[in-house]
Parts: sequence; C-alpha cells; structure tokens
Amino acid sequence: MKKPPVRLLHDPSVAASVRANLQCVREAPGGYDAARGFERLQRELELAGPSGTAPSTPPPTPRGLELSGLGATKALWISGVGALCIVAAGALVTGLPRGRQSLPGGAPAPPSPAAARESSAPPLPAAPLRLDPATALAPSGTAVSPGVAARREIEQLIQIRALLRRDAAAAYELAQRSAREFPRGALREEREALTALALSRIGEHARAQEQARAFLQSYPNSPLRAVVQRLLGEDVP
Amino acid sequence: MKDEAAARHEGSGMLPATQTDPPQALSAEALFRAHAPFVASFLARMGVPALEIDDAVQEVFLVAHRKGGYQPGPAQPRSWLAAIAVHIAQADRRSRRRQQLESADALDGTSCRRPDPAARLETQRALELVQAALDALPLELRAAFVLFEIEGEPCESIAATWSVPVGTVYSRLHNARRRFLQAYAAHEKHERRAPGLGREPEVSR
Repeated sequence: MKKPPVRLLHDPSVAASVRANLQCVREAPGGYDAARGFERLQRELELAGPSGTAPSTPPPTPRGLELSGLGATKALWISGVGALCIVAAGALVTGLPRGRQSLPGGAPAPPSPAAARESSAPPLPAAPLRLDPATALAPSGTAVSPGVAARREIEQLIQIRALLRRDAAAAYELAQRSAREFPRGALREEREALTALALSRIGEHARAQEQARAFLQSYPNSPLRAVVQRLLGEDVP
Repeated sequence: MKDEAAARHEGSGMLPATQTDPPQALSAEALFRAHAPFVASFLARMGVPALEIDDAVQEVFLVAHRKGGYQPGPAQPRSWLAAIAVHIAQADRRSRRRQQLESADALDGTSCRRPDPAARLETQRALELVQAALDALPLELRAAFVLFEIEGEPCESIAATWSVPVGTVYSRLHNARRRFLQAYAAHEKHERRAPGLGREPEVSR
C-alpha cells in the first residue's frame, strides 16, 4: 500500500460515532500531574549522571550512609534496575535532616532542589541519620557498617519493586522481611507503599486498603500518596 | 495550524508541543516540559496501568536522558519518545502478563475532567470503547495507530522513528485501522447488550 492513509477522523466512510469518539479521546484532558513528575525527574536526573552516558564505572567506595546509598544506586543502575534504585536513593537524599550541611566524613551535602521544594516532607529522623541497632546487623547477627546496611536496604527495595511486576506474593514476603530487618530504615516509606501495592495485586484488597490508610496517615505528604490513594478508590486532588 | 492533540496539554502548566515547532536538540528536561502529558497518555493507550504510569513516564525520560536527549532528525520528538515508551510498555506488559491487572485501570490516566456529569460519562464511554478496541491491536500496530490517528503524528516521522520505509507505516496503519474498526464494532455491539461491560468480549487478534 503506497497511498498515504486518510485519518479516520477525516474519513467520511467511517461511522460518525467512531469519529466522534476518536475526537473525544483526542481532546480528553490527561490526568498526569506533570508538575510533580517534573520535580521527580529532576531528582532522578541529579543522580543519573550526565546526559548521553550511562554510568560505566563503579562509584567510589562510600564513606557514609547517604553516600553509600548513592553508590549503590549507581552500581545497580548499571545492572539495569536503575529507576527504582534512583527513587530509593533519592529518598535517602531527600530524607536528610533539614539543617544538615555535610555528610559523614566531612563531604559537603549535595544541595537537593527537590528536597528544598518539599516543604511538606514527612517527619525526618534527628540528625545525623543513623540506623538503629537492628538495621546495623546482618541477618546472621554480624555487625555491619551503616553503609552496608543502607545498601542492603536499597537492594531489597529494588527487589521488591522488581518482584511487584512479576510476582506480587514474593514482593510482599520480601517487603515483610525487609520491614523486620529494617524497622526504622530510611526507606520504610517507600517499602510501606510497595507493601500496599503488593497486597492489592495478590488480591488481598481489604488488607491493602488497611495498609494504604495506615500509610496515608503516617505519610500524609508523601510523593507516593497519589499512587496509594488510588488503592482506596479515592480521587487524587 | 496548531496540532489538535497538543491542545490537550494546555492548562497542565507545561509547554504545549506543536507539530509546527522546528525540531531542535532537546534535553530530557526540555522534552519532559513539552511532552510529558503526551507520554503519559501514550503509555496509557499502550495498556500501561494507571498505577504504573508515573514510574513508566519517569523511565521514558530517564532513557531519553541516557540517550543524550533528542537530536534533530526526520523523527519528531514525540515519535522518538513514543518509540522509547513502546519499549517500556512492552517490558511492562511482559512482566504483568502473569498478574492480570485490571485492564480498566489503564483508563484512569486519561480520565475525563469535564464538569458536566453527562458529558463526563459520555467521554468516559468513548475512552473505554476506543481503549478496548486499541487493546485488541498488537503493540506495534497500536503504537502506529495511536501516533497517527490520535496524536496526529506524520507518517514520515513514525517511519523514521522505527527505521522502516514510509510504505511500511502505511501498511501498518491500514492493518491497524481494519482491526481497530473490527474490534470497536464488536465492543460497541457487546456494550449495547450489556452496558458498562464494554471491555469484556474477546476479539480475534
């Protein structure tokens, strides 16, 4: 077929009702929150490295908790699971206490415009951000550095997210395990949202809604609020 | 003439894109400002569930960033982004195949904001019928159909994006159009019999 097609909208041989509905779809406003999405993209681009170049070398050895998180982010980005990792590490960055000016080891804290904009972020831990004893222990009970623990928590979150797409039950189990391992972990907000999504996807709707309500109560200003609210069938303002 | 589909982006606070804009190099951020709503609705029409649209949009623009942003060429920025979005939607589809998320979920991302309830209902019905018919198309045909018929992209841009001759795009559109109308008629017929269940019937693929 070499002749350019006539668009259905302009083709009189097509039923008027079809054309009307296509026109309606064409003009329907989208529900995407572009402003919020842009803020999130900026946060993620800050961590993604320069344009046109996927990170190709492992990041330097981390010296502190937050730097460890970012290091893990870049390493895992290379392995192709980057999106969530960035979210996770972004949460670490935005989770820095407000007045904090430097990272452990004296490195200056990178300014995060997104963090500055989020004036209504959930309650933050007291500075400096430290893992509780439970989070600083490997499953075997061996003490590990906070950096290693943070990296492990991030990796778990990435796994939960990946599992959520193909095996929600496994995602839920891992989220539960991660919650036990890191009861006060820096990524508990993301983990709790994913837990609600996992419950919903395995058909545990009542528990999903219960989890969603608890999440919204704990994190009323979370950037994940809209996603969780949809589980409750609520309109997102 | 201003592109009709681009008018949808007005009021979103983001820069609307028009077909008449001369192609120029664009960073991921500039692309997002101009085309994020397009990408979101395109992903929804590719069948990505509403709960995953936000993440999928981010993935599209992160990939765009890793590719170094848009470079001027025969493919328009929106077609170029659509090609990335198709890959994301494809990956999402594969991973979701076992989960069987509610397909109606995909419509949330394009839900109607018209104030009049009757008009809103009418738009919602149109969205459901069109989406149901789109769902019957394989992703490759669906992408070409959505870009050409709904988003108003030129065939030359679609061809350049997928590196195929323009005649191949014509052929895909012809095929997609036939299957779309067939599926649309089946769903419309079914809906007349059982209103509100427009997405149920199985249409031959």
